[in-house]
Amino acid sequence: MTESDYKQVTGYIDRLHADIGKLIVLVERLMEEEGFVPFPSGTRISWDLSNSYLDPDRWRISYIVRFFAPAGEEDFATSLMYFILLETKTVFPFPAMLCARIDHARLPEVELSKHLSNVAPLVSLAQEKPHWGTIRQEGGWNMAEPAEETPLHRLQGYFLNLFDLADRRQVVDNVVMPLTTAGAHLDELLTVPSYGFGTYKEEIV
Amino acid sequence: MTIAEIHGKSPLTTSEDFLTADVFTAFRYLPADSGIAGFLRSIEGVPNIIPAVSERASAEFFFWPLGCVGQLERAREPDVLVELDIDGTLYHIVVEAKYLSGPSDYETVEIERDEEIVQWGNQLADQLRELGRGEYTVYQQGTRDMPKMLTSRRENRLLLYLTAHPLKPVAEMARARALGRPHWTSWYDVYDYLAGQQEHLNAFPYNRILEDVLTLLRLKGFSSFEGVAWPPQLELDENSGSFWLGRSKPLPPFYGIRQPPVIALSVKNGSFWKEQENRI
Repeated sequence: MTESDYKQVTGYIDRLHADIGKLIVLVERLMEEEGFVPFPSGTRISWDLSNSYLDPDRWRISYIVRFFAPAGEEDFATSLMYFILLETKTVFPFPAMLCARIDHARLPEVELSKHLSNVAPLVSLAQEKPHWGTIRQEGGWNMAEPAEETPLHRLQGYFLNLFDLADRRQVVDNVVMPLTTAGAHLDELLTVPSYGFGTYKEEIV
Repeated sequence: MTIAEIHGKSPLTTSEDFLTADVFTAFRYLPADSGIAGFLRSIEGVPNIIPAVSERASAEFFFWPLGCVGQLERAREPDVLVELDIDGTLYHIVVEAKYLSGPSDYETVEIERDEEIVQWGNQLADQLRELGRGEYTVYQQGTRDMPKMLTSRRENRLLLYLTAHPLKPVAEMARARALGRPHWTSWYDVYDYLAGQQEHLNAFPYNRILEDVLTLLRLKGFSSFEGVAWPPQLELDENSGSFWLGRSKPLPPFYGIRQPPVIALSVKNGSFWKEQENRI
């Protein structure tokens, strides 16, 4: 039996969410194995959804974000994160996944969470004019520094095409190891293409 | 029941007992080394207890044993008792499996066990205590009346908490911690392990056993990450470029619900997003 176009499209969205759900679970496990624990937000992946009839643009999840901290440390200077963009207002023609290390003031998680809860700067990294002071490349990584004084000093990261992550091995190689291996040159780690900030310019790996 | 359920003939798709029976029946029919023993050794901490096995290893499965011999107040009924024989050394594994429910805890009471008064009510703690005691009653010819005394060394016994959680249920595990450390695994891990055996166990009947149980686990949503499904091929209106941007904001007035984009005929054979779910 052939499904209607409506069911094909809606079914795909359900399937996309299910696949990303499995990816999130996998990353949580792998990060724990590497000694990093998620910020204390439980299983929450977004603060963006609305169930108000006045806000239909926010009925569907537009981003997913998870932050990780070194296990057992009460305050720390670097957080790891990934941020999956499921909205269409980006330069990328695919669902993009930002993987990043954020250097910040040494703060407890509760305090840090307040500064990280604003995802607008992260969204802007996937748009043509990122709202950051400077953006440059270093060691294969893309570096972004805020324009204003803030406890968040620097973000170093890269975008991936979610469709490029096909199995556990690729998640280890392209998400977990780059995030948890400090000081490594990004090009020596990645096995799938990565993309910079603010532009859709494919980099050959 | 595996065949009935994967063909949509079972009304008991939410049954914890049926899922447990289906999966451990598969393990029962697979070689012990690459089946149950290999799976157990894939669980964190277990290789410290169960050594690497050879083809000579054997496994006996006792489904729903009673954690006592004779009539004993509030005895627990774990799902499976596995007896592994590895080079003449016995290992016993009690499996407490969960699907849609949590542990069967109840208000803690004090009861007498082995001439001492103990706290009883936490399912995992109770089962750890029973495992240490090592006295079970198992089924024989359809009747549960055969005493089974574990002759393994106590350090060769472990309690396995098998759940549907994708991540370790730390709080549930911690409540049993006073009496020992149960090990944890999930149905997702069972899927991953068995899927990893397909290349090795590719001859009849093992290939069929694996295929069926993997299909069952996949239908229940226990497959792990295998990439993100590609969207259907859309035929967009050339004039607009993006069908969802066809109308501009603000939203009111209402002009009706937009039609979905047209899916190319080549991908309209059924439901493309279900294809991956049904593929092994």
